[in-house]
Amino acid sequence: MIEAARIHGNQKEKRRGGGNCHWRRQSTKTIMKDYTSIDLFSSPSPSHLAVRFLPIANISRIMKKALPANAKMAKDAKEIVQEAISEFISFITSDDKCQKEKRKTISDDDLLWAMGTLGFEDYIEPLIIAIRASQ
Amino acid sequence: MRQAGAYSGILSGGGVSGRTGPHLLPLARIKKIMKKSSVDVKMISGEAPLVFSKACELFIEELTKRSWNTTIQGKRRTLHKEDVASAVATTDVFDFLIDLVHPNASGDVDLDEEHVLEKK
Repeated sequence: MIEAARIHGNQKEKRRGGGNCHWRRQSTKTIMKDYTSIDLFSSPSPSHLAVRFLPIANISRIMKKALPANAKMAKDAKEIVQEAISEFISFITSDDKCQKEKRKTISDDDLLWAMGTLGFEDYIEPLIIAIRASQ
Repeated sequence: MRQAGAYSGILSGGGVSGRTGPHLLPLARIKKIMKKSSVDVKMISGEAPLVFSKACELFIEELTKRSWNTTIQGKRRTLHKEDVASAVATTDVFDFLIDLVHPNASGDVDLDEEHVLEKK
């Protein structure tokens, strides 16, 4: 809950205070209420929508790296890739290996195994290299 | 026999801090999406979002490059949603995205509507 508020920067806004921040305190209450709700992802608030996708700016940056310098990207292309990423994460995470083994914790090991099973075996080696490089 | 045993041996050596190094994608958000994907997901290991962060970069790059091939074939310089749809249709591993890029076929309009709302 606290982490969620920090992500949205509302904790910092609350500390700043000031009469003109009243609307910000109100939105903090709304967001905090959403995060205390058990069924978070069926809430219609903007904060609920935001957690379904990764930030489009970050995705756009990665896409740009993969394209030539003179390439352009339409907004609808970025948006569909944004949605595709969330589908990818769900697709890999939902692999029922943990279920079969009656475990409730997903490890990085499980993710790599799932990727190999679901056709993304080409990712495994560069992933291991990249993760070891970041250690 | 679990093939994944080999990976844990390679990854766990040297002590992993899930937050070391620059990440292009927010790990906390990745974790939230993972938890949403299955009701059985209760806990996620510290390195899992990090693995996904790198995997998503690779996924985005592959999807973008394949989409760009379609753009080039159409003698254009701007990547459009249709190019992404074409890449999904012609790549086997992207089959799970078919319903996403062709929402009319599956009737999955809600996702598009919510995405429009998010942009406002």
